[in-house]
Amino acid sequence: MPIIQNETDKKAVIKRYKRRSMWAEVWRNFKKSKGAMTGIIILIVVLSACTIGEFIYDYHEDIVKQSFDQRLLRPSWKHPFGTDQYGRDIFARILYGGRYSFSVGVVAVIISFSIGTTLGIVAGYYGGVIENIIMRITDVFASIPSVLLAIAITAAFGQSLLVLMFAVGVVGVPAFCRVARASVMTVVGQEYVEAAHAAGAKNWQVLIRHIVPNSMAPIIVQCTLRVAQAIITASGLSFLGLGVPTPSPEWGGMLSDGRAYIRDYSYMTMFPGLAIMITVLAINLIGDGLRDAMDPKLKR
Amino acid sequence: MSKTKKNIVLLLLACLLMSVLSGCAPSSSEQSDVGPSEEPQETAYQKTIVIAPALDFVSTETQVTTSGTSKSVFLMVFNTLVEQDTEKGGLIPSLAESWELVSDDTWEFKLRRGVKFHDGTDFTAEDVKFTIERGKEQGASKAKLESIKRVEIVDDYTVHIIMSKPDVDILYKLTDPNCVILSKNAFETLSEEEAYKIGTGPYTYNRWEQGDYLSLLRFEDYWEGTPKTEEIVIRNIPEAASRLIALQTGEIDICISPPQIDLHYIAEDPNLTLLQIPGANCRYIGINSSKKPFNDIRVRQAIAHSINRKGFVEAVYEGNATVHNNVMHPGNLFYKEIEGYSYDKEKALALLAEAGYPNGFSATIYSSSGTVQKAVATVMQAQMAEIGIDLEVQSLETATFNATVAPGSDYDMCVNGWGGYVVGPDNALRNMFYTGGNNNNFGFSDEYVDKTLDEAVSISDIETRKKLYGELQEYITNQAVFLPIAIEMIDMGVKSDLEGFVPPQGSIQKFKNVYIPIE
Amino acid sequence: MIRYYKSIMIILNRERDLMIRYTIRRLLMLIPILIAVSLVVYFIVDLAPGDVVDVIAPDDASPEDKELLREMMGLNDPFIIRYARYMQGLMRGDLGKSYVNNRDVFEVYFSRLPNTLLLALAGAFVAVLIAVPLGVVSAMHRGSWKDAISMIFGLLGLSMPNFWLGLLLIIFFSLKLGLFPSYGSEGWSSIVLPAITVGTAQAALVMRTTRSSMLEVVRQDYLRTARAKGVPERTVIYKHALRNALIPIVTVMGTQLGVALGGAVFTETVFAWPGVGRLVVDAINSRDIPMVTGCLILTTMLASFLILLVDIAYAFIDPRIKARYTK
Repeated sequence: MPIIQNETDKKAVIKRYKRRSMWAEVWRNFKKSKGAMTGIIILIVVLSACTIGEFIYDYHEDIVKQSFDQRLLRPSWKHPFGTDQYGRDIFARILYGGRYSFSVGVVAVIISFSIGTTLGIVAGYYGGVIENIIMRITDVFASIPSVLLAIAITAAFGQSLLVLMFAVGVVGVPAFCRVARASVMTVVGQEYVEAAHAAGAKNWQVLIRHIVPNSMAPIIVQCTLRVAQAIITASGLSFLGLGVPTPSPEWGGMLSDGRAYIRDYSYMTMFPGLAIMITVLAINLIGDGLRDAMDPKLKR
Repeated sequence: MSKTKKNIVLLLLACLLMSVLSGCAPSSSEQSDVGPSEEPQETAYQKTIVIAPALDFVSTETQVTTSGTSKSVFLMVFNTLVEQDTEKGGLIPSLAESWELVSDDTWEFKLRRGVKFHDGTDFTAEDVKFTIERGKEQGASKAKLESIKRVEIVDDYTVHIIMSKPDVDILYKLTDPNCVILSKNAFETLSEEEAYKIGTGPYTYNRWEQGDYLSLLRFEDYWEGTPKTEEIVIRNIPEAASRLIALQTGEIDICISPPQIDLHYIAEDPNLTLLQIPGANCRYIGINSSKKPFNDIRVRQAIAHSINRKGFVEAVYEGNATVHNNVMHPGNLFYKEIEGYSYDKEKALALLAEAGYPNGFSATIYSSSGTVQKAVATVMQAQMAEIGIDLEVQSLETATFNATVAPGSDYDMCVNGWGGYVVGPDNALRNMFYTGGNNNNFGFSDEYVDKTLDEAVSISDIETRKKLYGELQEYITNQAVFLPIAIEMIDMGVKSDLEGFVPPQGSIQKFKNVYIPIE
Repeated sequence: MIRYYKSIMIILNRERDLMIRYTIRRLLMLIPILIAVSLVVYFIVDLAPGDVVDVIAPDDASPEDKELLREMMGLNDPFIIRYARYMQGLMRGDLGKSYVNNRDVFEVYFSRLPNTLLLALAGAFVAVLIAVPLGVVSAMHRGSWKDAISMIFGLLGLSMPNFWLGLLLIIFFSLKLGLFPSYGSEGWSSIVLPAITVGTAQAALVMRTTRSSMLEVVRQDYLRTARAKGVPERTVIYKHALRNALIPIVTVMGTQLGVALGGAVFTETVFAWPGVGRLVVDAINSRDIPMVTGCLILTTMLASFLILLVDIAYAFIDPRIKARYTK
């Protein structure tokens, strides 16, 4: 049946064209948002500062080496953020420590994303028993308070950067699973999917070619916002002493170390917290901008 | 429909508001019952004394728990047979009026008459027999009572304690709060949970809000006389900075372990007194001598020589600790002043080179996640870097830490503490250094040490024992498996007018006589 | 008249039936979830290195003593046996006793729950107090500086780690100004700082919800009608618009309250607030498996009830949702 074949081809072409224009539209909207652009700028500044820190500081010399004649110095030109109880420069440690927060945030979300989205798409697409099983398991994990679950996981597998990533990642799986499932379900009923089926496409082809790309928008927004959340959760676990082991300059851990000195040397808790907040703020701004750009309904 | 909608929304909001209001309202009226603001009465003593220890009260099970705060409370709610006099030293009578060794293996205890339990029943020899026999089976008291074979009741107020092996420290062991005397009658008639609350001590359990506070009320019929303070509250304020603020604002009367960096606030405040008591705890670095490269004594000695103890006292304790060089605690009667390892980088490097590690090596040091432990590990890491040893710090929460460094496990080095001296010299050394000792997580096994320990425990002549234990201390220190850092200080901020304070027994506080007179 | 009444009653009855059936179904579905939660939690905590004996055994206990203690507590049995034993108790409604101090898990949990609830409600109160007016202003003055400031507040609240906010509040209000205590749960003043800490993050969320749902409502015809009828603007906003925008807000609050039941771990840690969160964290650290599992089962149960209540309330309000549930 050459004619129908032709029809689907045409449809695919139109669709691809549409998709490209959707992303262009998103970018146009995104650029217009002052907040999102501010977020991008802040994030670029923070990231480049951390990258520079990577090059100018040596882990052993500048980050963990103790100098007792330099203990507990208040912020000054020489030490813009002061020094800690071991005489280490807090500014250097914060710049260096950015890598932990960023890597945990990003890797944790990659974990949640890949597990969660896969499960969600499968559940949404196949429905029936598979969906039921997946969603019930998701319910179980979602109903355990996430911070407590993350704490239990770090206790179970020991403290390290990898475990921290894993714990924060696992906790985020249910949310991704639900979002992915919901957006797949809205797409599944669309005409072009039915058309693809009618044209004899296999299930997985339909999934990858049509359903995944078209349900990506809310998932991308979710990803951005989850990175922000993951950074906060990870620094919280470090704050409780369950994160990256000392003496690594993880921001949450530094904040926690500063607690004993909170009275006379409150700058020790101020700056790491500020670093977390600014980073998370930037990511949230970007996430918000993305959401507005992708969901014109909210915008107008 | 819109009517229903409206009502539900309003109802939900009203619920929210009501619960917030009702939650707040009653507590505001309760605010005045803690602190010094009570109305004047005929007793010229402050009604309530509030104590905030560093760690929370966790359990009423006297024979099971090892929590220091709980054990401090047991000394208020219960009595032991004999008591340690922490001011003058030595032992003083408590529930036992006198004791003597009547034969090689038998102690005779004459018990006090007219002592009442909190439930009104009399204390007799039955309770002693019951407590000890029960304690031999329970987690925490077992180790203290295991040298006792059995208890014989001679009459209502005399018991014979028959030993299965010679144990010169048994009287000291009986002063431990895990060995407080329980009521046999209570355990026979009440649930275990309730029975553990019946003691003979000056205070009775009143209310326990786990994680918040524990309130104790005085026992009017206490055999030493009714206590001066009506109520003692143990309040849980885990954050050290907050604890100190609470002391300064008058919400609490005794603050244990305020932040060391903030001690000057107490010293500057005329209403407060800073007490600094050399503590029970000796902070040390443990080395697993069964593992390469630490099985080479030269490596261990190199590490010992590269420890700058003054640096630790400065950076970790803000100067509030005493440098320590010996494996035994100076509070022990058998302690011997020895020189120990000097800080000598050259010598350390030479020893390392000799052992075949001229460029150092890498290893892991474990610590628990406590602030001090973490800090010691961090400083240790920096100091070892000086001689080329690259240490990785692993701070683990307590359970993981304890399992990781348990005897026989495969760790490199650890930050640990030891306060076991309070129950005698044998206990202090045997647990740590005897082959297969309960706390011997150094993988340490030495024929000479084992032989001398066995010999010393069976000798009753004090001078000979002193000599033997002195030699042992030097020998073991030289082995460098237990690298002492410092004796920690117990810092306490108290109200200046607090009376009746007695130094702690090891890490266990003795608060049963505290009071604050009011003009 | 009577005829109408009858048909109305029939419809109502059928709907009530459906609601009840729906509720029962949801409750029944909760049971396997609770069992699975207990299994997952029991398993994870059991996986952790070390056990309760490593925590509670005295320094001088010999390895044999520790073994004996494990034997007595049944810790040496294989996982399946221990879990089965736990389940046996659970089926009888017995959540077991704490490994650490032998106290009844149920009792301890419910002694801490009021503190958690109080903090959650006070936090919600703070959140509503800040967020609803801000959200309304923001929506009414869309694009203005007022909107911008509210949005920035919302984002800051969302981006601030709450343990850090707690510490900042302690530094300024307890240390520098001496206004509020920095710890504990005694007296009204001690709840102020924790409530602000918990409330701020929620406020950010509620503010954003208020704003978007106000924007949605403002466009509706009936508001235009109200304005056209000459109703004053304030009345239009607060009486007509806000009331209709409240439903999503209440939903968000309900869900947040459900989350808060698990305890605000970080806030509780910073302020030494004796709530459920700290209880569970302490129990995890001391490997007190019955305590951890019991607390999480109860938390899950209560949170699910809460969500169910919100859903039912929702269904009552919106027939479309009801139709979906009862399908």
